[in-house]
Amino acid sequence: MGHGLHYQRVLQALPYLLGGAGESVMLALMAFLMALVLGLGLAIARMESSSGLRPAASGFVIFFTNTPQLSQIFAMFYCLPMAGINLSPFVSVLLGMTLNASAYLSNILVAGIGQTPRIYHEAADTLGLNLRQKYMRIIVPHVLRIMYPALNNHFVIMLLGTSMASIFGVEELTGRAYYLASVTFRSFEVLSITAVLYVAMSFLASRLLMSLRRLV
Amino acid sequence: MSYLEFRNVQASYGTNPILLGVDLDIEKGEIVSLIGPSGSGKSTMLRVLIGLTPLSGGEIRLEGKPIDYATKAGLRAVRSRMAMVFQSFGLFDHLTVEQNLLLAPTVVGKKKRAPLLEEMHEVLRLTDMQGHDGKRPPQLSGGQKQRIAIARALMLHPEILLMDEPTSALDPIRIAAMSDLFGKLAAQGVTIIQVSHNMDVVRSLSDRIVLMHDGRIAATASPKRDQDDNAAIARFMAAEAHQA
Repeated sequence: MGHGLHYQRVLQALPYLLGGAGESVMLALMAFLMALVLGLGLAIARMESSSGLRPAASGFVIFFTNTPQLSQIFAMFYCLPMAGINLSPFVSVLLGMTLNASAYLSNILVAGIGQTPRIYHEAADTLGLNLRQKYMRIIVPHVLRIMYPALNNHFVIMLLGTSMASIFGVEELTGRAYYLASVTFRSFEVLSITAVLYVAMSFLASRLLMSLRRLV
Repeated sequence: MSYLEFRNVQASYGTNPILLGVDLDIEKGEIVSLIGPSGSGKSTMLRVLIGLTPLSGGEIRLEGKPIDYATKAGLRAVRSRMAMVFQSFGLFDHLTVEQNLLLAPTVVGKKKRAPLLEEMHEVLRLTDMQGHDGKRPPQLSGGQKQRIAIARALMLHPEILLMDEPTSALDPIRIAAMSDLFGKLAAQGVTIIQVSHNMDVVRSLSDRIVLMHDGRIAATASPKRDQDDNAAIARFMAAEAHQA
């Protein structure tokens, strides 16, 4: 093949890369949704003065926002088996990403809860809603609306962050790109196509999420 | 023993005392209007009664029993007997009018939605808001929001109705209609405590007027009997009416 750019062989492997892109999206989506639920629990624990879980929730957030995400995933991958918990590479990365993202999402949700008008809390209280009903029916829908752009941005960050999974042998987009580059010896072509796929994924995810905003 | 008794009720916001020892007896079905200058503690009276602002001293008794604000069960019990109309309405913008009205009866009261719809339409008719049930609060005017806030309170069938400036956004015709509605509710045994700066409403509606000043009750009067005999209340009402 000689010198110069040769995309033909890489393009022939495009379905293989697209499969990896699908894996990346699935990993990001699953981690995001689980992190959203966990992050919401953390946010409520931090915001409600009656919660005895406040110090634990705050400590969790401080730890996971002040240590490298890669280290956290390494901990899932190497440390949990020492405790007899053996997880697949995909699940290890999923768990690591979820815990890390939940800390950041809880910060976003705490900011949103803080911006919720006090009258919402008071009206819900006087109507007799308990804490769970108040958050599920009133506060969370309001927070999701006002913090939607920030949550959307974080999803895109997580989507791009799935490339870390390649280090652990997960065959997501970057993992497959590295493999393809090693067998075709066309690193630039493979990585440039991969970059285009990442841009397309991020753009489409962002547009799709913004179009779904009206449903929130 | 009165139906509702405030005994040396004290409350503060942080280190700022608002109520400095209020004693007040209210009978069932009575309409009591709290008037007074801003910061005199009128709204705080409503807030402590429904448990939004904690008591820092004294107690409130309902049918002779002290209200337990310290426990969730106690709060739930007292709130199940009251409803509050907020000055800023407190409607939830992401919910439709129908959802705002049915939220508490369905979620808290565990009632079925279908039978409640008929009741909701009746309440909307009473507040002249029929046909607006599919709208969200941002689509409504201030006066419409206020009437929905009143309608939401009525859906709770409260024994005690607390209202903070319930007619502030209404036009004179609607004020008259709402006053008529409040009078009918009181005749059915609903105790109404309102904070108002509308002296016409206060004069025409109230069984009793309570003038508050600096966290204390400065004077009380029954407008249907002796309002003119109370110089302090007459002066305040005249001044408010002049400003309006």
